[in-house]
Amino acid sequence: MKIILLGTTGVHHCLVLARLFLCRIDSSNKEILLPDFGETGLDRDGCPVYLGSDDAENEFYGLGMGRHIDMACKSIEQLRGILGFSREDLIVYPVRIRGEYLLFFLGKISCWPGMQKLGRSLALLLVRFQWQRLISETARLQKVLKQE
Amino acid sequence: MKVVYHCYGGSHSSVLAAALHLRLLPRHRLPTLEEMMALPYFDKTTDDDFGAIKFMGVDEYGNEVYCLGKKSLGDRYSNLLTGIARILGKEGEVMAVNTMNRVNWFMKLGGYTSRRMGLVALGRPVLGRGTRQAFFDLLNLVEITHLKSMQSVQQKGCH
Repeated sequence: MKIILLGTTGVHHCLVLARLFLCRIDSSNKEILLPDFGETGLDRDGCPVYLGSDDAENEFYGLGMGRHIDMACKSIEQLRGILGFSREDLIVYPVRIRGEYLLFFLGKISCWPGMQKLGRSLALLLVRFQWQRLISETARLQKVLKQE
Repeated sequence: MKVVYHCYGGSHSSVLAAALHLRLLPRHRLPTLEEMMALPYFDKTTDDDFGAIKFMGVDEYGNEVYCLGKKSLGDRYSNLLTGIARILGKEGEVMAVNTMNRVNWFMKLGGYTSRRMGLVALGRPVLGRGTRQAFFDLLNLVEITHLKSMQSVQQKGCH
């Protein structure tokens, strides 16, 4: 199964959620040292970014759609049907946290020359503030996947 | 193959392009506003239609043709649709075509006035004028897309 983690950006909270889910970060430790964290160039063109796979061969992708998460969610689900697939093949999971639009903005300013480090550091700070929320989202995602 | 024409609202240029692809409008002359209004979805969508992939018909090569409104997301939406198809193992099955680069200011102004502001009586004539001006540009885009989709079908036939 393919799981699309859909957020304002695909390389901040979506990436952390995927890595938490895949147990690649210690959930008790907020020190996030992830190679692709804040790499907005990866999801700038609108393609889903591969984030990893679990033991059950579920593939996780991050996708950033800015302010248009609901619209993108609708399109992806309809396209899934048009291509003859179902929820058993692909799930769209919108990841909503507080400050998600700020993450989107920080992603934008990270593209400016010399601003990448600052944008990344502020995004990291924001994600740390939302750590508990992300952990509860991980549990919710687990539940959704079990239902499928 | 699925051909998805997309524009800002999924109400004007993408609908017109899909209609031209499906030969629902004459190609040798400018269509009248009445002919355009007879098309499904043309200047009839609401805010709920953003993101909805609307079926328009099947062309002579068996390609399904759709239209879509994606707000200001531009070519990112083409990449989104083809990216999703790719991860589902259907690369080459979806052709997403952004029609916004063939849209002129009259169309934008008329479309905004008619759909967003709800001033249909004011916006529609402006839209009609803009659409007629952009008609052959859109037709050009459709011809290119038609050719690409036809080549894709032929390649599949060869394999």
